[in-house]
Amino acid sequence: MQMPEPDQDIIRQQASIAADLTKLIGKEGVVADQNAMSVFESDGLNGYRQTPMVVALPANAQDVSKVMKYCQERDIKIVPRGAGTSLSGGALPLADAVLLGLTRMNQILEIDYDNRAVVAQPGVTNLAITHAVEGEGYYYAPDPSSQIACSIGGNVAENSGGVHCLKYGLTTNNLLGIEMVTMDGEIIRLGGKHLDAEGYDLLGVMTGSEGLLGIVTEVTVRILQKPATRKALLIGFSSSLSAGEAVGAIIADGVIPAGMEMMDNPAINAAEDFVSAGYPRDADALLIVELDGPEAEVKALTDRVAAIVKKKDATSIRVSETEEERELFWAGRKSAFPAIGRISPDYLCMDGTIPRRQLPEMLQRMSRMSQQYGLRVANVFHAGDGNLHPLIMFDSNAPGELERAEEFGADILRSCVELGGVLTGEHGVGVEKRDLMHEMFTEDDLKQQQRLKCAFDPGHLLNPGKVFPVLHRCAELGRLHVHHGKLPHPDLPRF
Amino acid sequence: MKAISTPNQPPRDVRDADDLLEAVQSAVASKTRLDIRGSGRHLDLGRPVQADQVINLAPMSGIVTYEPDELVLIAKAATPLREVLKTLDDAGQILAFDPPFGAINPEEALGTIGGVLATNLAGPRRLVAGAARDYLLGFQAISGRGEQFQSGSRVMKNVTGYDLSKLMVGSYGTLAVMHEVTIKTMPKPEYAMSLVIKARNIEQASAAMRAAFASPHEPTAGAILPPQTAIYSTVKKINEISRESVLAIIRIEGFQVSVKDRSKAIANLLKPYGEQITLTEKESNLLQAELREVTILPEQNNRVLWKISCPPHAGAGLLQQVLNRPNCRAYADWAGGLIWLSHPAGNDGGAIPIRKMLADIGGHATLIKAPASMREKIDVFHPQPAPLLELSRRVKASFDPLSLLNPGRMYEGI
Repeated sequence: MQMPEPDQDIIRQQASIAADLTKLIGKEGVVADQNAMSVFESDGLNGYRQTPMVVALPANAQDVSKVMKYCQERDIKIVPRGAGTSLSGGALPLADAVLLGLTRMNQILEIDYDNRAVVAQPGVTNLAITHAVEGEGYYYAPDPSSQIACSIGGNVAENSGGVHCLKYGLTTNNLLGIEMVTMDGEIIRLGGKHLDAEGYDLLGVMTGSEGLLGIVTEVTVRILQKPATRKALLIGFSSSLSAGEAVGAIIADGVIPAGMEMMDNPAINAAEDFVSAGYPRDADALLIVELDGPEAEVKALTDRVAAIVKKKDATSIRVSETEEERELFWAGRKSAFPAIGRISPDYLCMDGTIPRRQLPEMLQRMSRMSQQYGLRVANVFHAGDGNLHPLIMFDSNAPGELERAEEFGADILRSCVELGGVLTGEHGVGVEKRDLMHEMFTEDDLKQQQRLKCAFDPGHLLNPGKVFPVLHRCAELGRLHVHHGKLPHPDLPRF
Repeated sequence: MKAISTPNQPPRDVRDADDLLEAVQSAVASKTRLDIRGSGRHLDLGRPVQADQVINLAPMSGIVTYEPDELVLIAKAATPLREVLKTLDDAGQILAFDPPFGAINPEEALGTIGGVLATNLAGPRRLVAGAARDYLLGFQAISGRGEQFQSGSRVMKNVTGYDLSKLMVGSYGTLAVMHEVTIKTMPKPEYAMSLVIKARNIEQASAAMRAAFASPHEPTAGAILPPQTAIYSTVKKINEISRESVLAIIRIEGFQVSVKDRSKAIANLLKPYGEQITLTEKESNLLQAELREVTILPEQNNRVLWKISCPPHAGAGLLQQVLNRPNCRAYADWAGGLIWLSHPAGNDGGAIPIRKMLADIGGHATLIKAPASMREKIDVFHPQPAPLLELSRRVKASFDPLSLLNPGRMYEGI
């Protein structure tokens, strides 16, 4: 992985930069000791490590603004970091950059039941928001699997999802407003407790921008009333083809389940070995369908879904009778990653998205690739929204296996794009998929995205080396396409 | 500056993406400012555009792909909305954000799918189902640089890189010309009905609204109709009781068994707030259409129409405040979060006092209907703080550096 060449001039000034930052935001907000900084050297993609030049831990938006202004004036790069749970290396430090950690900003600022909104600082964890409001029957809908640790600011940066996003949407659909600091230190508010933007939807663009456009210093999210009832169906199929068809048939019938998860046979068995959830070991594919809402609705829809999957040759159907049983159905799915970790020394967790109906084709391709690369693969799949998590098993002590696994992973992502999907699901691009962006986008597509970056950060100081495979200078990106060699206004300003 | 530009070049119809690309590239080469049109239905929205040539997208029409079981529809940008709605309806699906389309009946819908997205307009369901911006999964477009580009895709987790779809929705054609759009569709609710609470005043109606939306019974829309507005409803039951009270209207949609259950629960919950009546599905649909199309505020000469977005719980106070102004008619939708206001035109349509009211509570006011001369003079879209406006200008320039696409439609220079 090629990262931008560190600027040795900047690195040489490490001590004075740390001293300046201390003056700006106080000594409790600056970490410059090599040992103390080692906790920041990687995020959830822990194959990549780099000690930051210096760590700044601002206490509020004014601190963030001071740090940004300071760095902008001196051409110093900044890498933002929330809880550091990114699986794509979004918070991977740079040797010549200030790592800007938002974890000290961890207060819930306001719970507004009248407007069904919570205002929180970016370092508050996803789950803490639900905990703060569940006494009144509310919750925050997006529930990424790392919700106990991941921060709400990081959720905005990655547009995090979870198992319920088919019905409840991703972060972008549940976010009402943010306060952010731009690279030049301006504090800007986008949205609020009201709906929709008065101009361009910059809130929508900030969401999922992976820390490349600005620093989120406050978040306003909508909260929902918890559904009155939840039930899960555990459905076995003798082929992934019928399971895939069943998913399509449920949706075509007008049912939008709260969650719809699929596992293939290797994943079913690994999970069953691990938690004994009562999964059908002989099934080729397992579907977990969760329905939530008013009791009468859940009851009616449970029958409806059962009838649909029977027609699609389901080999077993169980409906959760109690809350404990529903949680047990999920326990296997939720422990799929550690379950695979038990049967293989190492595994790569991939993240890509395909149109749902392409699932059987994708699984066939994967099984061919598995033979070709000589590596096992297990699949868990957010079937409702087409988000695939193939787990490629390998042994990092066996020479060449890591490289083979990475190539296998890249091939899977290429297939996702070929089949009409995208390179990412919910883990972002970061450094992990940066070099695959050309598989999905043309040069012009990527240049347009980078020009937008230039509108926010013309010096490329915010999180450089992430998302885009080639860094173009903004001046170069500003050049206009010349039609048939005639651009008659050479005197026009260039942006 | 003239009030409205007179194009100095003949209009150009574009056949397909290549033709559009060529048209924009020629405009770049000759610095020709373009007025981008689908059906032209939304021409009166936004500031008057200063352009040299009209680009007519109407020939770029037709549904490319529709897969109901994947909840996805791909269409050429100028596909008539009527055609989209009909195609979805035949498969039992809808555009969940409930866009206004200039008619009570979908068969008479005006406008194009591209126009709906460019203006990000949404109806009563917006509160719970999201806006147009939540349903554009991906698009193909030509930027103001004369470059073809795409973003997003056809899957639900649609974004790799920046979510440019969000930016395109509501940008009024000022960034790029979309020529193909991929949208997420949703199942049509099996059944719907409305509960009407005859509240003593706006405050009580708002309290009923808060109680309904703080319950787990999933209301799908909520409106507050004061007497001077309700009287214009063509729903007989509403019209008949309009003089007596302020009406809080809660709509409940979904599977029939669920609607029956939830409406009973909500009715029980709201007993303390006033006498209740119910609307049948047909009545509820008609009222919903009147609220969506704002026909319940009759158009009259010398009046302008404002769309005001505010925090839902501040809506009651704001509604009362605007009704206290002479000759104003208004109602609240989105459980209080949206005020539709018909205001005497005067010099500025009340822009200054209306926007002043929002300063403390947060939100924004958009001038939706007004003469061109007024839309040129005052801010149609809510004024933005300087740093945000500057950022918006840079965003505009990153797509359209010569300011050729619908120049000035949103803000001066944007």
